[in-house]
Amino acid sequence: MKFSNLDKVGSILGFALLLSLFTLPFVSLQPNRIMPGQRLGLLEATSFSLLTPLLLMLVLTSLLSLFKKALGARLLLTFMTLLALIYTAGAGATQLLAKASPLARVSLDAGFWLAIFWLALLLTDVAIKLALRPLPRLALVALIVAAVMTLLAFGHGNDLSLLREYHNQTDFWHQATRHLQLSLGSIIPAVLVGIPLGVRCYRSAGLRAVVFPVLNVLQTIPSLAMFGLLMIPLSLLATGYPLLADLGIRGIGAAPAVIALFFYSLLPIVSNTTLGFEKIDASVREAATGMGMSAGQRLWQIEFPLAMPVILTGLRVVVTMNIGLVAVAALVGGGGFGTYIFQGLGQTATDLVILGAVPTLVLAFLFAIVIDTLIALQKGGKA
Amino acid sequence: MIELKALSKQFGSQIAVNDLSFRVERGRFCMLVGTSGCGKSTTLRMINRLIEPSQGQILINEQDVTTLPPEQLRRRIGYVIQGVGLFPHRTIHQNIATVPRLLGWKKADIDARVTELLTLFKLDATTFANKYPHQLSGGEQQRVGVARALAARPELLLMDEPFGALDPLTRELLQDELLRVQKLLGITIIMVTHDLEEAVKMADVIAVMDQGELLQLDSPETLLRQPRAGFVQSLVGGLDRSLRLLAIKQVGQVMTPLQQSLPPSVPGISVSANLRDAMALLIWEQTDRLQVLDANGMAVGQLSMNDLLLQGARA
Repeated sequence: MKFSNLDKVGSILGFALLLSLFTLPFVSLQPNRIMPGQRLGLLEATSFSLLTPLLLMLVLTSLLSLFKKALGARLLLTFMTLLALIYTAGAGATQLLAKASPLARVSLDAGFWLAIFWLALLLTDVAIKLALRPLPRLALVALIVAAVMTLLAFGHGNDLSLLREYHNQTDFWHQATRHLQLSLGSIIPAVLVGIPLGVRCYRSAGLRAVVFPVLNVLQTIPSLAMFGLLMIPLSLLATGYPLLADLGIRGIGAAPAVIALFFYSLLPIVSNTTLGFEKIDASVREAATGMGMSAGQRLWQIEFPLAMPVILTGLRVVVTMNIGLVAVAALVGGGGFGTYIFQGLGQTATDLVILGAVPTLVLAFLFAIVIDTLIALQKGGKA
Repeated sequence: MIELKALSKQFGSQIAVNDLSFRVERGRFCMLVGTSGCGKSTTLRMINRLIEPSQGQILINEQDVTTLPPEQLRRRIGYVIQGVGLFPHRTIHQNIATVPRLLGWKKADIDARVTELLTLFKLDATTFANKYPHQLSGGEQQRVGVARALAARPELLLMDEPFGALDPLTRELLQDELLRVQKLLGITIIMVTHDLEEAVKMADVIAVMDQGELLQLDSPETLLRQPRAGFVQSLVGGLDRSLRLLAIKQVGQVMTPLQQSLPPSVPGISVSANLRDAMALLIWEQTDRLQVLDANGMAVGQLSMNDLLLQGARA
């Protein structure tokens, strides 16, 4: 064995994966939805016959992760291990519940979540080492998400408390749509306003001196305070003009949420647009003008394409931040996944909190990946 | 071909260019020389209306430049700057095709023109066309910069210190190539430089500017032999002006045709070399005559130390 072939990152991740699964509780068996339960390790939680395939795959994945070789096989195996882990947790829950009271719940515990985390890192690590191009990388993420969704859709895991909560909620997909609406409903206007404003700020130092401090102050207002501040004028407006209220503009609900999120989203878009334009070499501008491009041609053919990677980086920040912030909007009746988080907190039902938190996280992650792909494709042209 | 009439430019209270008038004939190479801030770049940029003059008029082929919209005017004038300004997100092909595309040329015509220009500047069209600017060396980038400026076959090329950022070897190479291309295409060039050596080497006429005023407009030889007192005198009147005079002329212009063959021990020099190089060779070889060789290496003439001394002497 040559030392140079040793994969340091892979070895550490593989070791962490095994450590999390064998030293931390895998699931906890609760007498009911709310009471804390008995925490079980992976070996106690499942029968030996169920466990064997997972153990095999875990050992193989960890072994393969030691070396910088057979990356394709390692990718496939890590992916299979991820699915096996979810499947085993679901099947283990079914076994545990067979012997327990009808009110009992099986919740996923630290060992499981950490294992998922390490597996995700292992997948990322392999994808980086394979030097996947942007589109295949996006396809890989889509495949993994689709496989996990399919596994869950076939009912493997329905006995897990998290999925019990999911099936109890008749409006999960409604809240998902709502979450997206609130996000896109604030991001799209922020892009439409922010990019032209950023271009103006680039051209006029005077405007920049006004706009940037204002946006900076807006950014520092805590989200809850911002929702609160918006509720008062909006409810006054709604009372004064019932027509607005009919249109959905009221002190609570979507209106304050979308407006607040719009303000939060503006700064990164405006500042990155300005920065992207500032970074363009002065000689490029002079050449464009000197060769006879009109101001519009220069803007669309030269300046925007060159500033785009920086603008997209700003958009990436906005999207991940925004999707997270939408969760808080549930407090002012905005809806979205935050609804479950706050309900769960109120009922001390941890799995309901997780039902709100995990999809929020996944959504932010997926959007970030899509924008990363766009950025990579932009840069790809120049490499 | 191009005529500047009583041209002035003020930025606020500061006068950048003051009552400037001169004319450059078709196919000539005109150098604007002066220290930085003397108004030479401002003058150049007024020609393609990147800067609008405060007073005066510019005529190209007897037509006032203000009669055309600036964009259309600029598409007819090549423009090369020191920073090159290639578009980093576009390939070399797309960069060179910029003005033809703005003018709406057909794709086949554009492709043919790009290949023609790359070949003209000794860049292999198949390997360079699809590269991006950052993959090229500084010299290659500026070659593309000049090719891009020539894409739509302009009659006039404006160049603002185009070789200022290049290393001396590359600079000399590109100067020679530009002269070759200019002779080949017969275009008119107005170039800004602060490098007197570059000006003397390349120009047909040199315009010396100082503090926004044109001080002298003459051929390199006249400028070197009869500089006006004051700034021009101090700019060109150094002890090395005899050597600069030698650098202007080629061996072929002053050699004596061969009557009888010289012994092979006499050192040879190319007919196209300049007299300054010939002088350097004489000193190096500790001799007083050279035999002049044509492109095929055949002896066609001879050159003596005395010929050279006369050429570099004051008039």
